[in-house]
Amino acid sequence: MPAIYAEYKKHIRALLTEYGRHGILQGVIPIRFSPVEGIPQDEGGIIRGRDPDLVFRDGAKLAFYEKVQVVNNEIHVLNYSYHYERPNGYFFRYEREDTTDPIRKPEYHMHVILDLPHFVAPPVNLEIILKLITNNFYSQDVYSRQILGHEIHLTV
Amino acid sequence: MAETDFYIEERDMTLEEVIAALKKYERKYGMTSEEFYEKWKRGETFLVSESVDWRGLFEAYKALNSQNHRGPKE
Repeated sequence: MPAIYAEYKKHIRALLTEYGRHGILQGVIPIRFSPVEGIPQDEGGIIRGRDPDLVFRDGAKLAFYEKVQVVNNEIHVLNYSYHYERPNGYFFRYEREDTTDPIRKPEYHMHVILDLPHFVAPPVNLEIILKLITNNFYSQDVYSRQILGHEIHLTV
Repeated sequence: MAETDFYIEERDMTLEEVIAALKKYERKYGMTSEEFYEKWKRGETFLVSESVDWRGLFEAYKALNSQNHRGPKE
């Protein structure tokens, strides 16, 4: 089992390196590891990409957090948070959190532009989030051009 | 896509780093991490932004602090 968590850490590193090599992420790409009580240190822990946040080529930022445990020889991300924010303040954040109210706060949820409400969302991981961000905000195709450059003025 | 300057800065967080990160949240939200954690456990999900990270950091703090008190592995 220790090898599985070690391999997962390598996977995170390789993933972020790939986006750095392609010029999507720039500058310092921080990856921080720390232990959690109840999980042997070589079978899981906390992985953070924060302080500083990861920076994209247009100044947008991504902060991520994962609480990971190896269970039955598989990686389980028990909690996560992936927060992407553009320089103008537009943001979305996918999260997995414990909950006592699965309607107002589903276990797997996302926020868009505002911290509330918690919209139900499918489970995601860092790889999916990076693809989602790259394909929507950093492609040169028509689809991306339809997303970028819009101003939003709204009151909920 | 062009290759640009970047570097991976990968390391284990020290107890001091975890404490510094916790203090940022404590200043921002005006409560101690213990207070936040107790509210969290009671299901008071008043706080949505950054709560997952704060909770995880506090758990990391407890793990690192406990290791610190046990002393280094022989």
